Amino acid sequence: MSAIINILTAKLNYETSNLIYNEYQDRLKEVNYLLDNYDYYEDLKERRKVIETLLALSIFYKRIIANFDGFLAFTKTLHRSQINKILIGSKEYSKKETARLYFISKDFLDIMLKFNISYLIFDYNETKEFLRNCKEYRLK
Amino acid sequence: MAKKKSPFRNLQEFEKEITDFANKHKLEIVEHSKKISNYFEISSFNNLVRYYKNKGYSASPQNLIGGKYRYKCSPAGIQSNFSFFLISKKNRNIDYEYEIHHNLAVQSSHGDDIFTTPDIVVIDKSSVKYSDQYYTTKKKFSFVENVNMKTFCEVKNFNPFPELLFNFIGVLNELRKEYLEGKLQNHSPVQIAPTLIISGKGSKPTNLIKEKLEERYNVNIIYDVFYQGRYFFTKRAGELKKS
Repeated sequence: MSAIINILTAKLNYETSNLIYNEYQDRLKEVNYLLDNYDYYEDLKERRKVIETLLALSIFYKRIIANFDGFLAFTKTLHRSQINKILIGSKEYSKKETARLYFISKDFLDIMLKFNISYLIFDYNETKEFLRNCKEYRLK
Repeated sequence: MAKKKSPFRNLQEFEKEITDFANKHKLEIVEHSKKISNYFEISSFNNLVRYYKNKGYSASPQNLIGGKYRYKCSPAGIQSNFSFFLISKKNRNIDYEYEIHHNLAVQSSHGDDIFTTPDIVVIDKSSVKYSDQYYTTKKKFSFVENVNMKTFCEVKNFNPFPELLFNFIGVLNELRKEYLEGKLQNHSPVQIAPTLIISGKGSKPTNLIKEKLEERYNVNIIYDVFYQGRYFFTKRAGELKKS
């Protein structure tokens, strides 16, 4: 199977896919360094493939899904005022269009729920925090 | 009892689910990913509306175009062709009304004839002005006079870095020179202080810069707006500085 990062970024526009892919590669180097050089992460060493997949998912969430969720929150604000259509540039977002966006976000959440992953695992700045989150998650 | 599913126990199944998700939504994700920076700005705008609601204001969308809310995504365009939010609050028996606009030019506090466009701006009701003298082409220009601007926000979909933070102080100097001179205005009712909203989390150096700038000036700098930062517009709204 192709690396998850390639599957998630396939055909995205250059700017976005580059942003995600570069962050992933930079952090992956750090992940490998930390796993190879610190005993604290000993129990994660043999699970690099899982860590790589979670890393890809966390960056995809931050760069794509979180922005979709933010936009959907605004559409909810408008729906409360009985406004169901938004124009952004020349693109019109009808209720049907925003529902499609909602289902992307919901399907993503469903994967998280099915595998008991809290969004908190994605709440990190430094890569070592991400690894620490993975370690804690694994122990649960 | 069956063990809970986890990527550590069920990696193949986990990866299959992600692959199925990506394949199912590929076309739409590709299409919407082109609008990511707009979505980020809109989500920050929504956070600001929530902040004012939390502070007791009522908020309602205005100037719908054919029943649709038309979001202004760039400084280009005439403001009357776009929607905005009206916020209102009664304070000591006086009704106060303001408008929250996106990408509206604001007159400098140093001079009447220069302008800059913050991402989000709160202004007095019905104070948008128009001029055909700004551009050499006589194209219509929308702006608000500095005296009618109550506060502003800049939103950046980046990780914080020093130059980004110091640039914000440059905009503050242009729009609110009194803040740098230590002469604060007291608004009644209170407004959120000029705020920089950033999607990424801070690092040790940028956290220190944020701390120093917030100490020195009456501004808010919010990092990590999709995680910890979002609470500043709801349950931690009281911690934000006001102007």
